[in-house]
Amino acid sequence: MRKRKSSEFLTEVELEFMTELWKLGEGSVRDILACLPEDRKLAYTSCATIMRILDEKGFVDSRKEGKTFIYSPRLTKDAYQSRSLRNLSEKLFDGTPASLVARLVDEYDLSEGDLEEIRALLDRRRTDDAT
Amino acid sequence: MTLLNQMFDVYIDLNITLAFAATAWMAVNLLLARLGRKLVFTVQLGFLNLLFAVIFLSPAIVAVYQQLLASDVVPADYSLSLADYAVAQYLRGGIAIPAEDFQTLLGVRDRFTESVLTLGPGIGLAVALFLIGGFTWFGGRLAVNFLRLGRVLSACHGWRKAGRVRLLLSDTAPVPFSARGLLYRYVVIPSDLLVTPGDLNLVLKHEFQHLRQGDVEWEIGLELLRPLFFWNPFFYLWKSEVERLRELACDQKVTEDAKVDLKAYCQCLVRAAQAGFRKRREQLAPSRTESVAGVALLEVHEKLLRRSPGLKLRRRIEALLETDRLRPHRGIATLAVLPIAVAVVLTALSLQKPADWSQDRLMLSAIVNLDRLQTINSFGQRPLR
Repeated sequence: MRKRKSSEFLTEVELEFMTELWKLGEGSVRDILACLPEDRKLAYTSCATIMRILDEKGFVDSRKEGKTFIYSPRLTKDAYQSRSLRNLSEKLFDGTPASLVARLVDEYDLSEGDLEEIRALLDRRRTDDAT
Repeated sequence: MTLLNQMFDVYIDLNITLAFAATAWMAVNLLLARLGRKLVFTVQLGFLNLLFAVIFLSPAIVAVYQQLLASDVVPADYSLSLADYAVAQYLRGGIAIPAEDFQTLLGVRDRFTESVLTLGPGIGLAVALFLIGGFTWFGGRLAVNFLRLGRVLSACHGWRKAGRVRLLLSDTAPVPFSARGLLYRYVVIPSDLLVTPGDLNLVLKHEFQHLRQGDVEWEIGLELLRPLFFWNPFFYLWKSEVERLRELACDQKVTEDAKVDLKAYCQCLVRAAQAGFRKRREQLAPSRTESVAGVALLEVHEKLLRRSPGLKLRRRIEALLETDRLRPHRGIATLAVLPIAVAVVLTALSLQKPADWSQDRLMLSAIVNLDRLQTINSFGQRPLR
């Protein structure tokens, strides 16, 4: 059995691959390659290596079908988003999520719709906490 | 003389020889630049490494020479000790100071050694504490750096194996680098490079060239010596020159390959630097791969009293675009470096301790005693008018 390397986060390229895999649900290296933009011109072996690393890091599960490995995510996209945000909040915003949200609202060009959605989300959270 | 005294003497001699060799190297470079001659970097790196080997072999050469002198295989007249030469000059009247002062001057180094090794009050104790503190601090840092290298390597993902070379992929390394353990040599590549096959190919050529040149081994050697020479500015000068030349030599060798396009290689270096800087900036908890004993493709970390990484990259690209560098024949190149190597050995030989009981030293001792006798005899006499 291959040795697992504990790593909580994805590199830029790994995130790109995982995004495609989340969309696919599961797939082989060739399936993921087919989803990437054509101008990437990635070698099959490079993609296979990246998928193997994702397997080692515990982000995907693999099973063999004939001669092909089929990969499926072990972690949902939502779970990874939470993990990344928590990390960002802890390391860059001194563990104060409010500062993170404040920065997001100040700097990001949020539309009225976005703000309304955030407000609704906060109201819902408040109601949930009250009950 | 105790073993500790001998070791301390060798240590002092090595420091002086290193300072001399570094100065000679700079002088020769300055001379060549004045003459408008520029040697290819591979030859310069070879010279520098050869000289370094000569410096560290010089104590052995001195020991052999002293043995030959002691067993009369080499006549005593051929002693190259600077102190013996000074005594001979003094006896011929070339140095006009009182005999006792001259003898005191000759014994300065012995007294300094004794004072440091016996932790004598004042300067001896201060120097001893400074050296012990420095050896401990830099030795500790070296151990931490090797542990860090081990951690960085074990966090990498295995990619390929070829003989004793292991190719590894790293999530955290900002730039590619080469390193070695006891059994294997490692080339560590940031995993993001996998998606740029053109750059990956060039970077691998560069790192393999480092392995072929033995740069990793030289780097480890220099890192191992750093705790010993921590206070010697010439050591840092030498190391920075080796670091500069090994990258330039490596670039030059890679671009000599007809299959490698010079422009593509320069662009690859720029992209690698940009990626390295970006990665360093983006890392919330920066990895400390800059402190491991390895040879990196390029620097992305600012270092104290060093040129900025950006300026270094610019110099590298400018050097790659120069095409008028001299490539002397191997034999001629060896003949050219021979005078500096001989000068380094002669310096080491001239620093050796004087033969205490040589004819000239006995004569000097007799003069000192006669002077003292005259001083004693002149007590109570009426001063001359």
